[in-house]
Amino acid sequence: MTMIEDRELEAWRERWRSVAEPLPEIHRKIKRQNNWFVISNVVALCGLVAALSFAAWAVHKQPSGMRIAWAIGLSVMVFVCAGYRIWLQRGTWRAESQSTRAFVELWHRRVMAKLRMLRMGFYLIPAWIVFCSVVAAANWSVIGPDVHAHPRDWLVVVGVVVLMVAAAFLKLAWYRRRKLRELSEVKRLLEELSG
Amino acid sequence: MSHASSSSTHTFADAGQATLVSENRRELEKQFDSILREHGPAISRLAYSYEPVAGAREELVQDIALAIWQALPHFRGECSVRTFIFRIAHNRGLTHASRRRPAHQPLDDLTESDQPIDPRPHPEEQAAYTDERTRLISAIQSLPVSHRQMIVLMLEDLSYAEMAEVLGITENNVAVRLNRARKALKDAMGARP
Repeated sequence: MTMIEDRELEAWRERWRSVAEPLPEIHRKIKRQNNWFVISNVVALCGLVAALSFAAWAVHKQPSGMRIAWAIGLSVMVFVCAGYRIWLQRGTWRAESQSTRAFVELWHRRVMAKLRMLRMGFYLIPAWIVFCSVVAAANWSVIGPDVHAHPRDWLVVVGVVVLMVAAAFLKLAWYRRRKLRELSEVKRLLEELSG
Repeated sequence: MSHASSSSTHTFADAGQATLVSENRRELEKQFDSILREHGPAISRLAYSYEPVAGAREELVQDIALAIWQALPHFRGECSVRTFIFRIAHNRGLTHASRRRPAHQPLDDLTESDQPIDPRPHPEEQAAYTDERTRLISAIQSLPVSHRQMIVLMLEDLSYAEMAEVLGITENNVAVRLNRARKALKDAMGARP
């Protein structure tokens, strides 16, 4: 490296170092974040307890095979969500203190995993509809008379379910588009970092 | 009796643990404050390379500080504090840049309050200096991410070994990339009026 280049570097450094903005108020944000962390965990814990209590209460009130299966399903889902939350909270810091390359590679793997999960979501919704239809058909002797007695109520229920399924599909499609955009961005970054 | 004694021991143990936790927290807060004092200006300069808009830049600096605060309890000294800070800052900057892709604004929004006080006595000198600085930052912002990172680390005076640790590449690779990045910066500065 020549002297001229070094002088050039020193000049750049001098200009660069003169760009010091005062640091914004950070402690308040950290305090807010800490409070939010505690509140969100307390709310999540309350939700977990409420969901499990509701499942237990429902089984206690009418201990049919169907109710027990539903309660087990709900409990498993609640514990899976709680586990995912803990994993997410433990995992987020690790990624950022890694080197840039490791961080971007991990980011790429995470986006890919999210996309796989979303694809599974697209299959799960129709599977859930088929499952509910089969259950309803199998229990038609119980449900049928009620449907005939209160057709308007059942129409409302079916309408709400259809709307919910449509909303879930739209949300999944929107989220998938976002993740695909993110994937192309991460791939570009990876290429740039490898080049 | 034994139950009461065991329960009181438990309470003392809990109280001891609580004191330890709060002491640890105070220690962390002290460490965090000293990091901000020492590396705060570098973090705020680094934010310039990722975000030209003043308001969003302030948000980015806060995000970086928050990420450092969250990572600090897990820092085991596998690398220097400076490397640790720059890793987090660059990674947060990358995430920020990929989420928000505003139109390139080459520091036109730099308000008077953002401008550091320049000790140069003559207004012409001051103007020329500010112009040069604006040209440099604008050129850095226009570079691809990999070049930008190299340039920022070089301007912050990190050694090759530290740069390699921040970026996750070999020292030889650092040397090659640094040459390319310097050339790209020179070209970008030459291209700017």
